Amino acid sequence: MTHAQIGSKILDIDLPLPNGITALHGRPGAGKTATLHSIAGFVRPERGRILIDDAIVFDAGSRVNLAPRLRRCGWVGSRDALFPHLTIRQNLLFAAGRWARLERTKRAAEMLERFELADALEMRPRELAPARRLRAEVARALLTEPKLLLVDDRGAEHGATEGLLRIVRDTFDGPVLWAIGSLDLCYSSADRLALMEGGRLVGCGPVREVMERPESIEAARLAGISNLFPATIAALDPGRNQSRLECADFVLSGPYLKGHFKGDRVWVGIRAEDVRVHAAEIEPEINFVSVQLLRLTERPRSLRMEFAGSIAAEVSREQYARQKDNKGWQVEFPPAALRVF
Amino acid sequence: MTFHWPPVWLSLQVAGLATAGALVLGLWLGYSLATREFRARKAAMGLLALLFATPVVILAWVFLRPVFPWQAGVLVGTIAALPPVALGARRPLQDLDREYGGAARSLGSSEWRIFWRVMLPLGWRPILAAAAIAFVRVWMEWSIVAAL
Repeated sequence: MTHAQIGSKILDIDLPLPNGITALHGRPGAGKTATLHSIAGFVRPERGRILIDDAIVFDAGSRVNLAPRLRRCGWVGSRDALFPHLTIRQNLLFAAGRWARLERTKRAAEMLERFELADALEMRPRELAPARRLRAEVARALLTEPKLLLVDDRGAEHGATEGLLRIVRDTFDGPVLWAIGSLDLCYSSADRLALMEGGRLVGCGPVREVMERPESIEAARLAGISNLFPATIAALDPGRNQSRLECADFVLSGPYLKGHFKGDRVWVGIRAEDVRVHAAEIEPEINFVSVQLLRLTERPRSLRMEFAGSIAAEVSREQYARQKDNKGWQVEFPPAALRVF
Repeated sequence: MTFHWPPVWLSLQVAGLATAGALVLGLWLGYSLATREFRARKAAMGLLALLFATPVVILAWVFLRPVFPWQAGVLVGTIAALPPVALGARRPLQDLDREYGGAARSLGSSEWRIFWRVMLPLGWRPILAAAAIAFVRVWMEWSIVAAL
């Protein structure tokens, strides 16, 4: 079992790390790097306990604090740390110091092959592109046969890719904690997702579950739900499986909210891609709201329409092309797509 | 005109040996100051700065009067050369540690191995500069001490 319970002035987390890739996602300053540093042993937390493969590497109560080199954590930081005076092959051989020379060479060659770096054996790190340097660094970290792999985020340009995460999954079957900035990449390549905000975990679990059913408003924001409105529950009807939610400027009809009472203050959320856009002229139906279009921004595969009242919708180019001559606008919040926190 | 060489050789010998001694001690001290957090860290830094500000001639006056063998001069020279080496090496070693120390430690390497295989090959230039300053400091001031 690998588990991190960490408490300090800036962190308060309880993070189980089962085998597979756990993506750590949060805004800059949320505490992702501090979490990774605490688990790797570079900083000493004030409270908590860290177990790596059932071995206690840190326990504040009994004052156990193993040095980083004894924790068997593979570490890849947010900055390049391939030794620049060594070639890629020598960098990997450095990590394979505990094996005999022949075994060391064999393992390094195999690892470079797996990470598609066979052509870069005798190159210096500066001769490689940043993405390939990251590959080499992950390969070097895995060569030590760690019990846990920790990887910090390197930004959208030089960071992780689906290809690299696939190779890591094929090569290493232990737990991986990887700080990933892109939600799309978390969704496509990670098994679990841990959302961080202000040094706390605001959501943790299987990726799809955390993304589709966030537990809190902070988790919803981090999971990419951009339309969030404070509301009051005006009516609850379990018989018809309905509820009425009064927001500041409009009233919404949603599914019955189990565990809530009439008069409760809640947040209603809906993803921008679930919001439907209509012309003002058509007959309003359930959950239709008249809005004024403020701006239109281009996305790689869609258009984002931002309306007054902090309402956003993402539509395809074809859909917008059909409606671009609308004189006024209405948005529709489908009841099934509403999330209540 | 004939030049009397023995004092020059003696000065070079004392400065060279003192620098070599200071390199061993100073690099250990500089590496410890760069990579470890310990209670007396600030006190050690202050002491080194104080020692750096003290002229070699005063150290010699304190330790060596009235007569001394040249080997004792090497010892005093080592003390005098220690601050430039330790303080000069500390900053570059600290920068290197920040950049590569974490990765090297997580690979299971000992501090000794990290120092020899990573820090020294990457940080030899500023260390060499610090050693040159230490050598010049001892050599220049040794001639004054010798003249006393």
